Amino acid sequence: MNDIESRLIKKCKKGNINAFEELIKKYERTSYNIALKMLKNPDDAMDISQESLIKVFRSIKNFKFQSSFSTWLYKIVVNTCLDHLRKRQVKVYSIDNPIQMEDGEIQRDIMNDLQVPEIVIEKKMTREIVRKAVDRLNNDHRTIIILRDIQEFSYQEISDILDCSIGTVKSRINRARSKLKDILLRDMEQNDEINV
Amino acid sequence: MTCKWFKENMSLYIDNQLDDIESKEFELHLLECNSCRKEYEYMINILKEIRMEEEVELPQNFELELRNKLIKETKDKSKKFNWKVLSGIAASLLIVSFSLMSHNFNMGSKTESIQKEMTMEEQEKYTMMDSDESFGMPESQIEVTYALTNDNNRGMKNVKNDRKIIKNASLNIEIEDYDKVFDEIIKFVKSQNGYIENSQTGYKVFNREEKEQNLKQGYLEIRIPQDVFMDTFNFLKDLGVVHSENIAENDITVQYFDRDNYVKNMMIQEERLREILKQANNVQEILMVENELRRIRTEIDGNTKVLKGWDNQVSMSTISTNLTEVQNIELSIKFDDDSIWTRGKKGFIRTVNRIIEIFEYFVVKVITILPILLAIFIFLSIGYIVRRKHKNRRTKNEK
Repeated sequence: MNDIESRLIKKCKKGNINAFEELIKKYERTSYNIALKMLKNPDDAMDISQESLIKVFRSIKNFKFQSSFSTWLYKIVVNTCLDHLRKRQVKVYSIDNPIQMEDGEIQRDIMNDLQVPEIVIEKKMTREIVRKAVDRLNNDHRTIIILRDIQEFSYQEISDILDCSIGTVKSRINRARSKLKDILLRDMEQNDEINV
Repeated sequence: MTCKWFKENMSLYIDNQLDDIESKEFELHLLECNSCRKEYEYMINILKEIRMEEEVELPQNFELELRNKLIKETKDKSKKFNWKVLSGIAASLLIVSFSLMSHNFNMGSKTESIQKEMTMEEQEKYTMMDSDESFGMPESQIEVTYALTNDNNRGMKNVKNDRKIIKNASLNIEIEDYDKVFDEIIKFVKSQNGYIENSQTGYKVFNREEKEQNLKQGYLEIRIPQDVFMDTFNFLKDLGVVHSENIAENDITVQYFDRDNYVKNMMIQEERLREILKQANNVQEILMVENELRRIRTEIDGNTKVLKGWDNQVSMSTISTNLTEVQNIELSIKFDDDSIWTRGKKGFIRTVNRIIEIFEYFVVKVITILPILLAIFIFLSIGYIVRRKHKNRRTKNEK
């Protein structure tokens, strides 16, 4: 943590709003993007990212300078998002949950997604399909994919943000990616069947 | 090297989390196994797509809205603060009432303890007489030693229970009518079974022509039973304007009983010498024993005198009173008084001291009733939470 940042944090501890705005300028966009990916809804993303930044402001008094400020901030963002998801019980389409897989909505999604026929699995993978697949991961897996592959945090940073060991991070990333791959493969198969 | 291991470590390989050897193994398998290679390539493609995703820009009103929320947050904080102040006032009111209650309680116990002191003084008197009686001679040697230890114990007990305290006081009073006050004092002291040990009166200002202008001053040494010591002292203070007063209490309990025991031991020795005297055969022996007897007798007498003196001092307190006659007390007060400024200053200091005293008092009280405060705080915070929840529910309903 650099000097400017720690000086700003000290000012924030006294309740200085201007200092706080300066402090979080660097992190606002990332926070919003994390929230957007996790909540899949721009309105919620705005509300929740702002809510978490206010939480940061409120609890900055308790910030002990032991961890890096950015991971501390992102930890609050991620946790606030997860809390929100849990509270609202936003439906998460997960291949872990067969009942949800049988839901008609998923099929409709696929139909809408795959407008281009005759997709060759290896080549015609669009960004949109991958995004939708990420959205359908369960909360834990989506969170870790967002942190690792979208925001490109290091393993250490992720373990700090999620409050878990590096080992857990490693195995969770691996599992999340293979789940993502499974979802995509399955979609392709279904898509092929539909289009045949 | 299995495909399972390969799949498990794919992510780690992609993220450079494998060590040199592990990554070499991984690469080897990548070359060997066709299906694994396909899977790996597929994964790389997925991740490429994900990472190509561009960050979304912040909505335009994001910062403005955040600022408004932050301002609201700080305002909420100040609102909370007001609430805190309110509860603080309530708590302090409670403290005041609690402390007043406890203060009253203390006052009650104080008067009780004074009464207890009085009875203790009476006890003292009683044991004093008792110890006088025990001055009688012991009968035989064995019994003597027994009596000695017994007395010793009693002495120790006495040290604990009955304190020998000499009370002395001195007073300087300004009065208007010397002769009247002098008579009043003598009358009062007599009624309290005391006496005037010493008195002296003289003229401070003497004018042959105008006898009205004559002013007297005098000195009185009043001896008064200890139990009416404070009454007498207060009576004297009320007679005029007190210029100075002083009370001294000297605790001589330990010295008293030390000397008392010493005297008793001497008496035992005297008795033994008398026994020896009876058995003496020749003149020389008789003379020697009598010599020793005389020495001991003198010592006993000397020490008994001291003890009696102490008893006297303890039972009768001494109040030395200086009386000064002045023409007009009101006038003299004004004459002696400081200027307005210094009086104001004194008053100011007094008030400040008082405030400090009250503050200290409150600090002590607050610490004393901290457990109760804690309970109140918990109660208030529960109330606050309930209120907030209620409010939240209401706002939700409104939404």
